[in-house]
Amino acid sequence: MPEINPKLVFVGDSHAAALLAGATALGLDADGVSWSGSAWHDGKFALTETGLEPRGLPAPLKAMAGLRARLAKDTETDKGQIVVTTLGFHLGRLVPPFGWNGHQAFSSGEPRPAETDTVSQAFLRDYVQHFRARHLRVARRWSRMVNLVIVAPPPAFSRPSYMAFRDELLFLCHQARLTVFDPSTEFQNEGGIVPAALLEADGVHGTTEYGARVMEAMVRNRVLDLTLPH
Amino acid sequence: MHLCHAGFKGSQVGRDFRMGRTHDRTKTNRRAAGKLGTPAMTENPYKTLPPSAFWRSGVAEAGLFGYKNLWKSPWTLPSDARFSTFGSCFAQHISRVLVARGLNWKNAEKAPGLTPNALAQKYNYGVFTARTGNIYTAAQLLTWARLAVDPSAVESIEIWRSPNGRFFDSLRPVIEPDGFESVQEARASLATTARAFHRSFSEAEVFVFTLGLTEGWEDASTGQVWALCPGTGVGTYDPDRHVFCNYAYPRIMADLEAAMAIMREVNPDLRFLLTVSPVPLVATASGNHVLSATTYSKSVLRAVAGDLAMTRQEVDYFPSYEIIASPPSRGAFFEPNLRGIAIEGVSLVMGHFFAGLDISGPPARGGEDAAAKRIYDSEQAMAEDDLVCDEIIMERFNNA
Repeated sequence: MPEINPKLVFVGDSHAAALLAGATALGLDADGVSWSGSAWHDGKFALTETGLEPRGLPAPLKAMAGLRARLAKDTETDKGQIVVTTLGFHLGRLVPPFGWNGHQAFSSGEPRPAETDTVSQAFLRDYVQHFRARHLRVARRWSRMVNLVIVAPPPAFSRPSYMAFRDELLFLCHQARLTVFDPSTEFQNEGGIVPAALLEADGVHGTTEYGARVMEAMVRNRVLDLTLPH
Repeated sequence: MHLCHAGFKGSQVGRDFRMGRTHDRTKTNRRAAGKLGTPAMTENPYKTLPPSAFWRSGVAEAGLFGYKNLWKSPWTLPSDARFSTFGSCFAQHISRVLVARGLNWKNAEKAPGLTPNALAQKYNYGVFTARTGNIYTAAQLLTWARLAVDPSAVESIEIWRSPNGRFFDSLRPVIEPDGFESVQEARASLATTARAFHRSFSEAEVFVFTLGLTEGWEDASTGQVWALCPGTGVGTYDPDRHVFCNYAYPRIMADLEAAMAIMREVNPDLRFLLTVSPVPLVATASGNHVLSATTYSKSVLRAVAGDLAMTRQEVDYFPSYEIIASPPSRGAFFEPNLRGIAIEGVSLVMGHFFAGLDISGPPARGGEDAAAKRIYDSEQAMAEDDLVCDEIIMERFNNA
């Protein structure tokens, strides 16, 4: 464990907000920038020699410039820089269209209820890869530039298909040898679902307390090489 | 027993040789009368026949691309008529051309939303109205009709396990490029397609079926039909279990009638347009030369389709087989392997199809499109989620 924690940088979609707030609440030195999940889903980002940047999004571009100024360097690509990201998930844009024609996705081995139109696991993997191949490619390159940690979104509900897509993306991250943390492991005693008290009013996004709990879990599980302030 | 086609003197109600049932021959007689006119006013019935009734004017002088009135639909269909298409590989062309022409091809088993075309093709979505794969025989069609009204019966369909641990359902052995990961997954997929097959006749005006083969394989113990002979690609051939069947006219007729009865029970207004695939057999297990076996197979299928069209108001026959495989074409539309059909042949076939099709009736349906509404609602929900996400981002991130 380091004696002096490095500054944590959060870059991601709206789910990164709770993680940043949680880190700050724990007394960690944290900063970050975010833009909407739909822009992430649409691939409005690029990895340059100075790090990951939004593309065609004036406000996030300005925010990124502000972040870099606060970090007092032109780039967040220091090898030791810890970057926590939600890159690649963005389930709110990925999952609903899958169900437009009545399909539901199931995690491997999960029982499939009668009367439910479904697809094979192989199809689901190909479908996810079609929409996320570039995200994973960028994540692999980015992980060679910084100490990258991908965090899956809060397992906030058991809506059809969400868990299957989540599991599939986790698998693909592992397969790509990316460091990825699944918050559902922290909520095993609560059925793998985040308790309502740790969710915002929309029932989707985590609160500051949720973010703090996930950050603590990542430190405890050595996903983040940090010492939490007492 | 023989089938006496109603000709000049056919009785109005004839004895059906197949099932000992009576059936109405009004349709046959009406057609015959329409073609032959009133004998009393002419020296012989052929004098008033149109050029298409004579080989010289209808075929020899018209030329391959000059056939007139080759087919005329007996039905005036609604302008928004939905066509479901199934059958052997030649049937795949029909769905493509219907879509290309802007007709209402029924896609009862769409790929999940936003699936790219290449992925949909890889998993055989959009080839037929439901993801059945090729249905070569009438026995297979009957199996699907039975599954459609009782999807739980998929439990009786045998699932093969390959040496590498993947699973293949025996009705659609090549529907998934690499098979399924489990028996449960294979059965869930079969049930999904069975429900889609139900929609293909419950939510359509015309069921187009292309008859492909008389030869097939069955399980001796269960009677289940197989889409392909076990051992030809997937599965393991067991001579004690896997029985070769060269279905004869009576069995094909009975299976087609049974399948149509199941479908009409659900949708009494459903019409059937039968065709026979001009694609020859790739191989025969009959013991005969493949050329003879092909001729036998296509002849029987053509006869069954023709008899059904002559005796049933809800059935018609479209002559795709004749356009491609009859002597005047001199085999011109076959690819060099003498099996595949060149696109020019498909175009000619479908040209005749559209020339004879009558969709001048008023639209059958109106109102809201449920699928479109579901997508619109989903888009709205995602847009609202975006607003929430943006608020969270504004609040917590970008105030610096």
